[in-house]
Amino acid sequence: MDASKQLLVMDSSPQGRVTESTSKIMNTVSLTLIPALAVSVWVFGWDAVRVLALTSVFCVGFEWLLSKWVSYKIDYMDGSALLTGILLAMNLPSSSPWWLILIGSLVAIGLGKQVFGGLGQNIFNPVLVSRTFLIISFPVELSLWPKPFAYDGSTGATPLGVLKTEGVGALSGTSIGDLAMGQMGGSVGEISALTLLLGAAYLIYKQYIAWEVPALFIGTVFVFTGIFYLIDPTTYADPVFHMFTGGLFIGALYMATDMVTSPLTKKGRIVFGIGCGFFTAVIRLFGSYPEGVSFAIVLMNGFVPLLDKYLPDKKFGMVKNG
Amino acid sequence: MPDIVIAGLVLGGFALISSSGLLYASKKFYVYEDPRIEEVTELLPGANCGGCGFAGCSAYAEHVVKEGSLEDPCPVADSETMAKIGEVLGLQVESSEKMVASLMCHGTVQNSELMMDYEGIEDCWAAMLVADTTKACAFACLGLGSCVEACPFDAMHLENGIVVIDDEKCTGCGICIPTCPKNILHMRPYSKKVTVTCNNTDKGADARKACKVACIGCMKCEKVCEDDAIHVNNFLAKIDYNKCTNCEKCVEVCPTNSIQIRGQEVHVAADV
Amino acid sequence: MLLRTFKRGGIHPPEEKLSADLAIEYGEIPGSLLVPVNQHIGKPCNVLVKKGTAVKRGDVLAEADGFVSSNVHAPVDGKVQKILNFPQLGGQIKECIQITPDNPGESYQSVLEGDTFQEVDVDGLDRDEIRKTIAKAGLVGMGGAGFPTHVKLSPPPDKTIDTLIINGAECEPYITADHRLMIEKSDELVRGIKILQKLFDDVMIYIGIEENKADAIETLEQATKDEVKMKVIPLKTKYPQGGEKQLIKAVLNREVPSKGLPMDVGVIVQNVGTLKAIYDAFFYQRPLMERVVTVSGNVVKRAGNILVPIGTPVSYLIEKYEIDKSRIKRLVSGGPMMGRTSYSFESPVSKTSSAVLFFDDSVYDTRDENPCIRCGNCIAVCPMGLPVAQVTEMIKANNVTPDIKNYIMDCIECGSCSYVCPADRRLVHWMRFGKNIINREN
Repeated sequence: MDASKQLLVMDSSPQGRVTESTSKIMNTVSLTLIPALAVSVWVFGWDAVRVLALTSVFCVGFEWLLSKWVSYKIDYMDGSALLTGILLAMNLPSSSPWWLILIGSLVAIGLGKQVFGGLGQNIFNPVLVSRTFLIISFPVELSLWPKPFAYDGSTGATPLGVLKTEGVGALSGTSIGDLAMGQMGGSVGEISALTLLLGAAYLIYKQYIAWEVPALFIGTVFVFTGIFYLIDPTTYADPVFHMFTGGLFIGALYMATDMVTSPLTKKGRIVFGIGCGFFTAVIRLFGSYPEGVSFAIVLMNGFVPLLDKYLPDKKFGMVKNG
Repeated sequence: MPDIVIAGLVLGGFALISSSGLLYASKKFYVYEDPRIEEVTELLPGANCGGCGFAGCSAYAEHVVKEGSLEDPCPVADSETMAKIGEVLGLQVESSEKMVASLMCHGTVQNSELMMDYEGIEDCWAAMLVADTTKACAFACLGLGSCVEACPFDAMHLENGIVVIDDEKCTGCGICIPTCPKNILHMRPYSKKVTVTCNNTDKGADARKACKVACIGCMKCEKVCEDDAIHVNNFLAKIDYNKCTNCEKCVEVCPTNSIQIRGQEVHVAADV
Repeated sequence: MLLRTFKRGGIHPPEEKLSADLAIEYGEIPGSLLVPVNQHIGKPCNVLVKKGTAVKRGDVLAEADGFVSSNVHAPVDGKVQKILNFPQLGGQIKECIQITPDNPGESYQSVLEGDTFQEVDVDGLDRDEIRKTIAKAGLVGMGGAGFPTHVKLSPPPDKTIDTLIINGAECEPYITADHRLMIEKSDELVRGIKILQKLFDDVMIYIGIEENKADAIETLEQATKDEVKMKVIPLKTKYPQGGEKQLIKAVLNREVPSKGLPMDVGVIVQNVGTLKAIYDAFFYQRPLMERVVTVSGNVVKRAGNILVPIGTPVSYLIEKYEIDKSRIKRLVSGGPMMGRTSYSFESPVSKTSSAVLFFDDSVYDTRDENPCIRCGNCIAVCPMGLPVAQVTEMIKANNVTPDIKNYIMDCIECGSCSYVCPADRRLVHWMRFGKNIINREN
């Protein structure tokens, strides 16, 4: 073949593409978590950084190991494993021992993601698979939540835990402002609703996440708990308290909106958001666990294939002839 | 103690009721299946390739047992296996020659220049949606391996931009034939090694321009053949394998090396 | 004012209309022309000439075979050099008639000036006569599809046509051929429209133009201001507004049913370029022998709109526009969204080539397909409302069920989904592959 002859590229239309890419999306999502992480470090100290570093290294590490082993191609540096790691850290208490983090990372990457065939194939959110796995398997470790600003390893219950065990009367001292800023016990990332909202607002602006899911998720929890608060304020906490405690914000903004495990269409996303909110409220109000966000999302993840199938967008031209 | 007894009784009772249900169902809904179907299935190659036109080996077995004939034999099984299957069915089986797939093209990138940098989906049909060919010759193997993908026996692979078929691994199932958008795969008997490796029906000069080893329709092979087995039609030679005797005279006489002996391919054509 | 547009899906890629303000130039007759025999959708034509035949400009080279077919005419005086198979713009190999012109290098403008204008009494024209003239002139849809115009203008008697939409949307990036025609030949277009108006009773004409062509909107509003039954409709700039179904939805808010044709909702859509050709066919007795081509892209020094005879090879354009050949990596005919790539610089301009674009690697690099991350962007932008992500996965798995088939056949291949896909999946290519699988089954 004549080397000087230059060959023209032949490809199907279109000849152009947006500059978005999988890794760009993943890394942007990771970056928007920085404010929330900063608050965590402020509240829980260097322990939060330790957990974050460990989960990130373990998750990317496991993905790299699996990429050597499986037959399909895994791009372990595309940012998705790193994002899983960061989100996993945000779902664990800052006092988590290293072995818990190791198990959690293995479950997230292995059981949550790669057993289904890797990126894009998993039915359930890997981080939440891991979190629910840990909550059920290691209930003791996952109920020792460090107290805010204690920095000394002393632990206590989360506000939702207090609510569940001691009733609504024990909550009289908590201020909503403190809760919104994140001054409460909890896992690394779930505490600061406002910074999470800030990061997610950017993602919504970039259209990386759909606004329907978090809005309806939080709205449903608010309405549902509100109804019960109005019925009996002495037994049930007020809806604003429910909105700002626990993992509702991180769950609604970052977990339920995960592209892979949320529905493809607008209609599906609306049902998904409402369903998540409903189950969260039901578990919080009547379940035996104080927190229900992760269970609710995993449960609704299971419905996603059905939602995709039965709530497709209306096809153009589905009108009667003439 | 009574607790454990109660538990045992409850569970045991359940077991009893459900097992009797199962027993009843197995008797009630029993379907007679010819035992020979399983025997035949056992004998078949078990690749479930679908070359026979049935969904798999057991579907084929069911068909032959039901029909009681082996008129359409398993394309993959050798004559020995077919004879055994015939024994099971009580039929006499004529031994037939093993067929193999063969590519009517030798347009490697050295022979037929690559014309483009194809970057679409790696599939010949998908490429055909973007361009009619990838090489200078419009009839050439596209070299993207739709047939390789389809081959259940790992008998095909890509080399220098064309498909190379391993005669030993090829079972003649014929799955690959319709996967070729250029229609340049055909079946030939295993023992007949002489093949025309071209499918270009353009006039000699045009064909030659497109590929160094193109058949130019010079008729030399037709003249030299003593068995009336090779004919040039539409500027392209074609071998009638019922008549071919493997004398290889046409191979010697072909000026462009477009007739080749399988297993002894001349990879780069001599400059004519 | 709220501009009209279609509601479902759509994207807005960078417009890059480099040649929007450049007047249409005239090319010269190239040294050799390759006139493709089949430039339309439908039955192939019969070649009437042989090697060595001397042809005059306007002679029929290949004759339509049957109704859904279209004549091909000799664009210049010359001699048939050869009839051969040659790669076309778009990658297919098709039969071509190579013509060596008698006067290579002659300005095409002077050739055109040689044609005599002849006033036609439009009101006196008979409907069948109009259709026959259009068929004889070899007119095809010049927007890209190449459907014979006379067939489109002959709806079955049970369909009443109440609206004619003139497609001046030109929603693809880079292309400006129609834009320039609308500015420079507005009176001719209106006269062309009047001929079409004769074909149907009481038909309303809308000219749909995207708002990014404000000068064209103004010019045509001026040209049609005395016409009661003609109206210019400014449209919001959005791709793929030039698609027939989307244009009808945007202009009239009528939805063409799935698997249906525009005539099912009483509409016929015609491209601006086709109208100019209709005008030529009636007032100059000139069959379709030339077209305006936009030459653009990111490696051209200067972009332009040029009127060339059909059969002009791309190499002529490269020379005329002094494009650095070594920098060209992609040669696209049509717009970047729906246009097809080509691999030979000798491929000829055909009736349907609205643009010839030249790109290097810097704009459109090729990346590997990554796993779908189910972001749903492809579904959100699909103007046809198809579940693209799921359908392409099924095609990839070679699992084309009847449900999936319905979706595949509704795809208009506009390219919006591939354009927005962050995982670089070749969604349109898979859709076309799916259509191919269905075709093979039939």
